[in-house]
Amino acid sequence: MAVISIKNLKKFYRVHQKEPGFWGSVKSLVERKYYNVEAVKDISFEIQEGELVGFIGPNGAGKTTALKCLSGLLYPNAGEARVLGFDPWDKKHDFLKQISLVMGQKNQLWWDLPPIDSFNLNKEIYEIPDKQYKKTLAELVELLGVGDVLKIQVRKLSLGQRMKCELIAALLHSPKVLFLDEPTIGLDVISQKKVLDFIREYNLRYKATIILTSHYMGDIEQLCKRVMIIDKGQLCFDGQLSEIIQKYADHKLVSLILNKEVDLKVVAKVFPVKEFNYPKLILIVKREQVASLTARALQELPVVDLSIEEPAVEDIIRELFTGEDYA
Amino acid sequence: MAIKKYLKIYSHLIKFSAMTEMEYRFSFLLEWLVEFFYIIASFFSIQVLFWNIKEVAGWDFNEMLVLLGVNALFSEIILGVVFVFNLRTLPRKIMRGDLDLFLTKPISSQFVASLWRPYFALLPSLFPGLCMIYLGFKGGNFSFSLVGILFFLIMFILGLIMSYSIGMIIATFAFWLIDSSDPLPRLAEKVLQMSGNPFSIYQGLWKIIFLMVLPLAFMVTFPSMAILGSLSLWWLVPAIILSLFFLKLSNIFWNFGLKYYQSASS
Repeated sequence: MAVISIKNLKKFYRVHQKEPGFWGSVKSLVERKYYNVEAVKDISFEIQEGELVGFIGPNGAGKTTALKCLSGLLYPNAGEARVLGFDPWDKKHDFLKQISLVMGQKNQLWWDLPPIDSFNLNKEIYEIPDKQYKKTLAELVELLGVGDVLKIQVRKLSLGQRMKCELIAALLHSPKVLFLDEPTIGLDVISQKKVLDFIREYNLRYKATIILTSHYMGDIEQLCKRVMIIDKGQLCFDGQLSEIIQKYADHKLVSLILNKEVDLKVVAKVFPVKEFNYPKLILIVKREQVASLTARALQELPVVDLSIEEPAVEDIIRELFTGEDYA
Repeated sequence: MAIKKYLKIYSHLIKFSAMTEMEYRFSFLLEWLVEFFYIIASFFSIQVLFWNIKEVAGWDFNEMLVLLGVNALFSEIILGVVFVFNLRTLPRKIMRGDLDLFLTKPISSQFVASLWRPYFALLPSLFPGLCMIYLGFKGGNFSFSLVGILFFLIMFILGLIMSYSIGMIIATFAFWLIDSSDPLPRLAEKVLQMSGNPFSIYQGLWKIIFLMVLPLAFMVTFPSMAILGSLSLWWLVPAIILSLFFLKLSNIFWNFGLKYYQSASS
């Protein structure tokens, strides 16, 4: 049975429209026009135990709304959501003790106190037995390497250290399902990597089912085999990351290193140029033309080195969203 | 056992609040000073009142002092435990979606919204209230009895529960009013402040209203009468019934409000 399942989920927000400016504000005191913002139009999917799935989409696509429906924070207007056999909206304690929601910018640790105090409080909230608590805490601290900061006030920690402690606080009760909303936002490169490595390790070790949303394609690429692309409240794609490249990228990138300056205008008349920064010239070529165009480039241009690559997933996704041809 | 869990959690919360506030040492001193001056001012206004009259709706000067002291204790506790860091910030928390992180935890959201951060510095401010009660007893030659004190404590706690519930119900309207609801907790405080007047000043329909609909009588007046020995023990029965009723009502209403809660966008 699927651990997470969503069927025809629909969620809209009622927002009031205010005219700009001072008189707009005065007017809205007296008369308000409401309209619906459809955050999630119709989404269905199933996730099995132990999967690490990525949600990608532009801002306002409905990713966070979907996560909130799955964690019981929002009540769907239509459709149904089931996690671990529960209806998240009921917020049954048995259900809540098995899930965890981590939102990148929101903190649950007490600011003026050392993290260990907040951890101890969570122990009571989740009713974690002493032995299990000590064991889990030790494992998490070791995995994230924060043993020396447990007793330092949270406000004195760096953002990276704080985020790691936030993760620990969220995982002390060994949740089976983890919802991570932009967990690496604002972190430096090194901390990002540590957090991602940790999530991967956690998923492998504890077979936790994880849904991760991120703006950073790097996060998704490193962690998730399966991705779901959500745009304008709908599921555009649900499958393997590698599939996206195959299906949507009908181009390849041919990178040439030149040893003589060339006139870009002349070159562009013959070859599909994406970027030129002497000595590097990047061509964007349709898959079926790669062989013939490469052969021609080698003949007509002063090439000393050449490589043929898949386009970046990021570019593909961007093209999907903006519908623009990135060529 | 749920009660044990919440007591454990609350003991942590008290400790945390104390630790957090002790970083700001002056707040304790200031709190004590402010309360001290406030009580002196209230004492003086009662004194001035009684230069002109002999009694207020059956309450003489010393009995009024006791009422004043109980009122000071009562409001300090309700404000410090429920309002200062909790209900007063509820409208903003709802607007910003700060409740989210708690709604996904196995803990009562009403508990979190109303009791999460007790104001630890309220402790020293209880002292002036106690002094006032003592003064009233001494001046009126009343005597403390074990039964009286016990009766007082029970009625006092039940009164706190009723006050909490009413405050909670008013603050819950923040779910619907959202961006206009900042003044709601203050409104609740003002309503509850009326409990500081002796109940006997009300006549006719108001008597019934402030006894059963908005049970102000039970909050400060009845505990004061209990410790003065002028309240019949039978009042325990309606006190228990009403406090449980209003507490349950606040919980039902809170859950009702939650349904309409839309967490703010990320």
